[in-house]
Amino acid sequence: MSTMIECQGLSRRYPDSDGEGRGVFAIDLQIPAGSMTVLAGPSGSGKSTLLNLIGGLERADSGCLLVEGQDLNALDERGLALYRRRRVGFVFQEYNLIPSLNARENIELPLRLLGQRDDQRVEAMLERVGLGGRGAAMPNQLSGGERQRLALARAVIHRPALLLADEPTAGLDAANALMLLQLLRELNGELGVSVLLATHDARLIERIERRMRLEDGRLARG
Amino acid sequence: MSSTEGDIPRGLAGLGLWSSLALRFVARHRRRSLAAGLFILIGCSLLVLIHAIAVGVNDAMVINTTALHHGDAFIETSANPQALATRMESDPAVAAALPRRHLTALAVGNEGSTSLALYRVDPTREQTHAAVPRRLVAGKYPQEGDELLLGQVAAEALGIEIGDTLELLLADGSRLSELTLVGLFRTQIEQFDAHTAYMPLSDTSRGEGEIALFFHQRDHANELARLQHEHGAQLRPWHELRPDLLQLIEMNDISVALVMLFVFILVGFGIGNLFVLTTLERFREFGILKAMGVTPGELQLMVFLESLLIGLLATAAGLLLGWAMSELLALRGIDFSAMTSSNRYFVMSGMVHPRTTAEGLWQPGVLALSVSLVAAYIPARIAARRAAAQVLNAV
Repeated sequence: MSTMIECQGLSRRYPDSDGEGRGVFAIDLQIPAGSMTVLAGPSGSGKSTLLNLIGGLERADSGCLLVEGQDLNALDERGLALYRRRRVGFVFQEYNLIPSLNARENIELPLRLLGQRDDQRVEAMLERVGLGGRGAAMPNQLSGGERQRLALARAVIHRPALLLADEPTAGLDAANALMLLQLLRELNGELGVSVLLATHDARLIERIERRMRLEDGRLARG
Repeated sequence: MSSTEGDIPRGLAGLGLWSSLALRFVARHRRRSLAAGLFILIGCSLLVLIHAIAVGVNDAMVINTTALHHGDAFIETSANPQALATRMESDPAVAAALPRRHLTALAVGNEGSTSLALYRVDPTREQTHAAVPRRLVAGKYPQEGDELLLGQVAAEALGIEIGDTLELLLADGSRLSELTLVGLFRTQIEQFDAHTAYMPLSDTSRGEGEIALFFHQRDHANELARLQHEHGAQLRPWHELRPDLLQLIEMNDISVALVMLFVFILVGFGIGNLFVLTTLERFREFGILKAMGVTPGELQLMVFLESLLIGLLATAAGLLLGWAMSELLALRGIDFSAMTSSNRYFVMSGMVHPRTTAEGLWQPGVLALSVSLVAAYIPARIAARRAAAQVLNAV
């Protein structure tokens, strides 16, 4: 199995009020392509920061970060944007759907950004996440569970190599959380997309075999 | 690492993508779009109206001033002015040609004497086109023989009234005796009212020949050149005879241009403020787009296209509204009489009829569009510069 993500000595530090600094420090890890990995840890442990670095939303202060062999530190602003557009899908805790676009338009946006139009694929994806017939609904007309499934559909519609999910089940009830996890598993299997999921939700952590844990910005082994 | 499916839309495809997204965002952010559009629309329509009123004021000044004496163009001729005027009136571009003979005279009345510019005129033509017959304050316009029309100020200086007789001593030493004062006029131009007199023209009238020419169209530069060529006469346009009026019109144009600029600087601040506020409201949306891989340049282009779209639609609507308001006001005219009663440039009437010109449409249009685009630049830059994570983490 080839390597999707490889980090060596990866650090990103934010100054905070007590002068200690928060972020991630000296992260060494390897994640195989096509795998599903959970990044566990308490709030403030650096999970979101690590996801942002891997997703090209932020730049590391030091260390090496390779995704599919590409050194993200070597990319300029436009290069990072195009990397996100082509290779990455994001699912955020706050859904982060575009409020002025309806469900169908939210899903088709990543395709349009790549110069593609595929109505069939969009409709199939809406069906796949249980939103068939709700394509015209605006995000504020959907429930929390529906919004998160819509966000997941948008994140994978363009078949990215890497799906990054940051606390995707926060605010969801158990049924919706498990439904989302099931969808993630299926898409991971069907599309071969590598999934890196950051959470402190024990319901998810215990159901994913490949686990990593962050504590105070450092990777804890075992 | 490379793209496995499709690629980034560029060139026309990119413009199509960002235009369609901009259109969608403009339509979905209806309140924001309407508020910004309304700002531009009101500013633009007001500018069209202001410009049309300014053109109307200029028109009124020209009409009033040319009607007083010289016409749109003036001819001094040694030939028979009646015959030349009749020939010129047969030209389709000419509305009227008023033949006159001009003499300098000294009037001696009961209480004093005064110098006069005496014009022998064709009463029928004068009453149709000239201003003085419409400014009679007593009596009638002279029609025949030795009837005389005098400015009221001159009559007062001479101490004569309607029905009195008068003798004029001409520059060549001859006399015109037993002239009957049949009418008085008052234009409010003191010098004119104190030193001008009119008598009917006859074939035997003496004096310098002249013709006041009136055209059907306001823009008659080509007709001037043609008539000059066809009739061999020296035509002097009104702006040569009245440089003061030309200067006044130019000053009026500059004032209007400055007003337009100031109005749109203010409107620009308003639009800019609105765009900045709405951009701040949309930071989350922009952050999501950037997280999805939209480049800073593309985001800037999209915000710019949104502003362009709002600007274009609002400008078009503003031009239409401004034109409609101007046409509506032009139907009845705006009465400036109370403000122009002693103004020599409004001798006949203080009515102003706003007139929309091509310049009066494209100038406010270009100004409105330019200001809205400049006002959109700062928010577009702000949106493009903020990092996606910074925006998303801040929410």
